[in-house]
Amino acid sequence: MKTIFLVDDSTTMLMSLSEILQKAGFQVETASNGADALKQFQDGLKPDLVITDQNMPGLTGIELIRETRKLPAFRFTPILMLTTESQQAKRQEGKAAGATGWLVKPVAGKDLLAVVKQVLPGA
Amino acid sequence: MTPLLAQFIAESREQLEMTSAGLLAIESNPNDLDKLNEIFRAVHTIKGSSGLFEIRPVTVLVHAAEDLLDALRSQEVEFDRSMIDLLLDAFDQVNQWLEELERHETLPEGLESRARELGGQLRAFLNHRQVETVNEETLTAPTFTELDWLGQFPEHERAALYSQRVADEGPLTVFRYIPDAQCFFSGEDPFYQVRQIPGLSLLAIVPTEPWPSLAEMDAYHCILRFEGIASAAHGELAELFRYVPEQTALLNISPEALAVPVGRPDETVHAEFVNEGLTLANQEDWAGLRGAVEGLRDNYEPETWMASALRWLQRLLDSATPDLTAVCRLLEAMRTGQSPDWLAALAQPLAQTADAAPASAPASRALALTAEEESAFQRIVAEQARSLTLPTVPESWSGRILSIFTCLSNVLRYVQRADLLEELEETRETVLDTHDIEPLKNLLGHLVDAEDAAADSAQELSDSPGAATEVFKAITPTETTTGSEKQIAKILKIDQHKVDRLMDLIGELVVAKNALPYLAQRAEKIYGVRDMAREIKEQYAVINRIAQDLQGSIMQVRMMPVGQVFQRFPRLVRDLSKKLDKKIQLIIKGEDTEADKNIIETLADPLIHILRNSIDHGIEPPEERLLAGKAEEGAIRVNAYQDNDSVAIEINDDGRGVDATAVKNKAVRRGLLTEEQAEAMTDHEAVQLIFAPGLSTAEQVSDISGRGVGMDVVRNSIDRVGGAVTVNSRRGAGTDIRLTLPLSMAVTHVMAVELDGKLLGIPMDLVVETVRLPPAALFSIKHRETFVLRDQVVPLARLRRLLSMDEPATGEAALATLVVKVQGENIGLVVDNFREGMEVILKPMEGVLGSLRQYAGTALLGDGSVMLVINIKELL
Amino acid sequence: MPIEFMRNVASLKGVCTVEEAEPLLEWLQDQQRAKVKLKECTHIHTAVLQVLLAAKVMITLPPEDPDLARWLISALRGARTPIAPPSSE
Repeated sequence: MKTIFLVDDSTTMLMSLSEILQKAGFQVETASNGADALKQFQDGLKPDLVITDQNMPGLTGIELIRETRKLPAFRFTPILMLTTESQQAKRQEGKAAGATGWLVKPVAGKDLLAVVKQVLPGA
Repeated sequence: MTPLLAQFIAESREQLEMTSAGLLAIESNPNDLDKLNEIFRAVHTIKGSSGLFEIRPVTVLVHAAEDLLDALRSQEVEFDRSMIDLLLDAFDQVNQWLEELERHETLPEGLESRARELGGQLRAFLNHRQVETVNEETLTAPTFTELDWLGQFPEHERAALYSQRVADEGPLTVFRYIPDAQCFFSGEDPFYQVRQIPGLSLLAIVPTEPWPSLAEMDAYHCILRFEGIASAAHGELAELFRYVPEQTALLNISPEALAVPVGRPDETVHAEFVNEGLTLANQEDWAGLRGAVEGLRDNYEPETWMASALRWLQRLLDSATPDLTAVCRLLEAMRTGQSPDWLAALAQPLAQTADAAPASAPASRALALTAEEESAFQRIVAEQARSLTLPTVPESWSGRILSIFTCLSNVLRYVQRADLLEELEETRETVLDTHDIEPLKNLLGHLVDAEDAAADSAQELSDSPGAATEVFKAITPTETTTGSEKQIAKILKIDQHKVDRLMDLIGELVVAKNALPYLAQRAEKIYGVRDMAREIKEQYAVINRIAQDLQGSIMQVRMMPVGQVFQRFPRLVRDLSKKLDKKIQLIIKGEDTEADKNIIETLADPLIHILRNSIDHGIEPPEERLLAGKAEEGAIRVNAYQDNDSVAIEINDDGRGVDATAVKNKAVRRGLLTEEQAEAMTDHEAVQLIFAPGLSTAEQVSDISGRGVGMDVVRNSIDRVGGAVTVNSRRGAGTDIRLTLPLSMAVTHVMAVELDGKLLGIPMDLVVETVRLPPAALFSIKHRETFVLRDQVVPLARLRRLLSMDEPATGEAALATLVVKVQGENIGLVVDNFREGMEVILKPMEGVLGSLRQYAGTALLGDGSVMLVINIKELL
Repeated sequence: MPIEFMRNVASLKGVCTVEEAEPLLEWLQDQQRAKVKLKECTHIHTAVLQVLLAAKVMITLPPEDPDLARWLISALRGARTPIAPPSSE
């Protein structure tokens, strides 16, 4: 089973995304902020895909991506950013920081699964 | 309600509260970028989550607010006080919708216009802002300069694809994807992407540089590129490659572009055949041309370039209606032996649209229009452009815009321009949101290729309503100290019911524990085992200590900072003072003081009431203050602190104070006091009368403090939780109100008394002392029993009589009398007998008993019996 | 691990991830006549693919996955008959 790691400061988002992904057969792990996520990664958690919100207190999504890419185990891990349609510049910045792609909020279930499938071979 | 919706509502409320507080902070310090970011983030979160539910009005409005906040924080618009008002209004509206949502789990129809209206007002500040139309794709996307490379695919494969596409008229898109060399380090797998191309028909995977030797190869340096043809629309491929538009070239092609002749070149000059072919083609003598091709074909070896070209020409001619331009182009190519320039052929008929609509893929027209249809199309579009120029009243503006869009959408559907429909839909959203018709003008411009119609009307297009005409200057960025990382506390959110349940269990434990002393007593007195009794008592001491600690801990869990209630004050003061044209400064201290959650909740309404009174009646208008020699700006101070076992909250204002004479007069008029009583009263006593029911001192009832709800309501709610409220007025200098509340309501100390063989509890904090009065000590004044206690006359009341119980004669026995202090006055209360003081967990009366106001509640005793606790204030 | 190395034959199975490109490359660097079995393979990461292409390795059993088999053949064709770099800009 593939593991997907979600980072979002909004519990509503975490709940809704988890539900969609779990129903589709993914194992889901979560963190409510970047520092926590990073800590879990450093402690050895190795998800197959990371999905992080961009706007978070503390580490932003982009900062989290930058830090995560420094961990050897996460060199090649697909990472998606949750953005809004107005954040075009952020997406490019995110790409530069090592994001694989992005999702545009609000995320519909089928779009989420389509994107996950797109970046996760064998999903 | 689904847990997700409940979570969303709770979370959004929290965010909104933070937002309101933040906005007020911004108002006084517009350069606080940290604060602005915080607010933006909160609003952004709400918007993001709102999309999960069918609550478009919320999404629309919050989106507008988010855009304005974003422009503010990126300093694209200059801060303006009226923005704060509008934003506060918008968030109030959202809050209201959340309440609606909580009640009905859905929002009623028709709110969207309200959302758009408010949203439009917010966006009016942005009108000058450049609408972000940056299209990453057109900025950096590579483009094809030729299509000869299609020749690398075997001719038979291309031929199969050609005939298939000609037959089904489906789309064809050529692509070239050159992944970034470092792409693996972004989690990308280009080959996997390519495999997902819809309708992938032909694919070549080629190195972008000569293959390195294995010894020197870096496996993680991507040197592959992917190119090929997909039987899918341009848009489908663009969607797939949306993360890497700068690395992909995409082009919609017609099937003829597959006709790239390949093979061994030969020297023969074919000018004669080409000229003849062109003549036949221009006469549309397809049969003749076909014959000519047949005749020539056998002259060439199959693997030569010319044989390949002739085969392709034959395929083009096999169509029922051969494409004249394509045929001519291929014939011309034979003259030189070069590949036909299919790219130029594709570009030409599309020049206008490709130029005008860079965002959408240049797509070939799926339907050839007749001249009549074409001119009808032009007329309709021109008509829409013209209707935009007609003057309109703001009310009908949206209606007109919508009808234009509906008309255009129908027209585009008819001419099968699905590619433009999407653009139309986007434009519609933008125009409705921003009230800016510029994008619509542009769109209409694209659609009309006869310049005259469009140009004329575009000139005089009127501006949309609500367009801000001011020119905003950029704010000079101010350096703010950043990086003060906020400590993120590990906070566990728990359903309050769970805490209450825990509390109940602890209460039961306390009660069960209280049974042990009884047991010890029985062990000693009935069974005569002293040692056993002693051991039980020792054990009791241990359990007692643990129970107390447990109780203390759970109290801590329920403790909340009073600041929770204060949060609403700045907004209240701001709004009311604005409304009343008063200048008021609010100073809050001690927000961190903690008290039980229930107590805090009880506090909210009384405090707001007191504050309203201060603003409305206390603080004078600026002119009056200046005349009185005071500062123009009034001050209201709210100060909370812990005072032994209680929480004290003081609200002071430096206003005019309470007019004692006016209070007295009113009390007399209302029949609350006789003239003589009023005469004898000190000013301080008179001021306390504001707590009497139905006494409002303001000359006029204003819509702020309201009618009929006086300070008596404040006193009642404070009383209910065992608190006290006092007022002190300094004539002309201000009013001080002091509330004291117990820290916690969980444990109540009561004095147990016996009445008719049963136990009754009396709140300990009211008990002054116990005395035993010989009947001879009683005398009566004005038909009322009294006694003298330390030279003071104290009225006497008999509890049996108050509770309508029998009063058997007691003869000369001393009367067990409890002296209690009720509203500042000592009263003797005769009971049957005194018992011990005890700690109980007081439960409010429930059900039908709830209306029995003479009882404060019930408590379970150690022996399992239930004790009623008396509410003396109600009883007397 | 989806790649099994047996003497001069590497057997790729399931989804071959990017992590496997490096070990595969190292193994190929030491092999004179390397052969690769792709029968049970459903996808190979681009990094693995380019290693296979660069090594011009002999494929003994093509993938059973028809889609992968088809594109792999395209890839091998592209790799063997180099085409002038495209003049795209």
